[in-house]
Amino acid sequence: MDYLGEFELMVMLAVLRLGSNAYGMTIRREIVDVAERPASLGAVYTTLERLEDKGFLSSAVGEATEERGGRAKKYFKVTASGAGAVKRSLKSSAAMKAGLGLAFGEAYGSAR
Amino acid sequence: MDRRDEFHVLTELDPEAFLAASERIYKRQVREALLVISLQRAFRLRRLAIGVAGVLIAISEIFASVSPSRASHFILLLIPKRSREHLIGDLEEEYRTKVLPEYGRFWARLWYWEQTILAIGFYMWPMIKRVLGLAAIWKVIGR
Repeated sequence: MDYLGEFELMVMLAVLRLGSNAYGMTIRREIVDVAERPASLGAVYTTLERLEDKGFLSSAVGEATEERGGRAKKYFKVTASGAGAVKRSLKSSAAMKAGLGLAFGEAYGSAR
Repeated sequence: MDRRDEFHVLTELDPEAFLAASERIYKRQVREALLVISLQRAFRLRRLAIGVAGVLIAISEIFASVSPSRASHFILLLIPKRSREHLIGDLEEEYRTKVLPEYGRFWARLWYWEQTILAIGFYMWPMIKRVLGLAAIWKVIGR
């Protein structure tokens, strides 16, 4: 069973959030704006390719626009196995967090 | 009257006047030396300032004259064909529609180059690891 890395999970969630408008630029901006963490296009694309190779994402070539210099977009979609991998990752993270219980809340509260 | 004549005349006078005149000449020489030193320093600073300005002008010229599309041609050769066109398209779209209107030409161009270099780095790093045999070594040591 293939597990998702931390950045891979970010990319998968960004693709799920964007729905039919998920391509390189929007995925990058979603990660930067929503998760508030830096992400370069190079990092996003290498991760997208890896996820596609694992069978978690599928892609389709879209339209070319003028502001892109006539280059086509590549839209990404989460596959059934990809959705399963996201669920597993979120479930395991939630299980690990739940195990900490109140101690996590106290540590978080005192750190702030 | 030049300094030598002045000194010659002074030696004919009384010792006190001679000492006072010597002190005056010494002070003048010190002043002149200080002036020369400060002029040399100013000249060095000016050269430094000209050098710094030259470098800044050269950098701004690079950013002003080399268009992002030329950078895209540069990455075009290094990024695998699979995502090349799409990545460059995304880069250009974000540059033109988001970064350029928000941050201005200089910072937008800087952003473009940063993204270009990072993209090359992300694609080249696995290749470099393979070539240097680092991938095999890291596998052995469990990284």
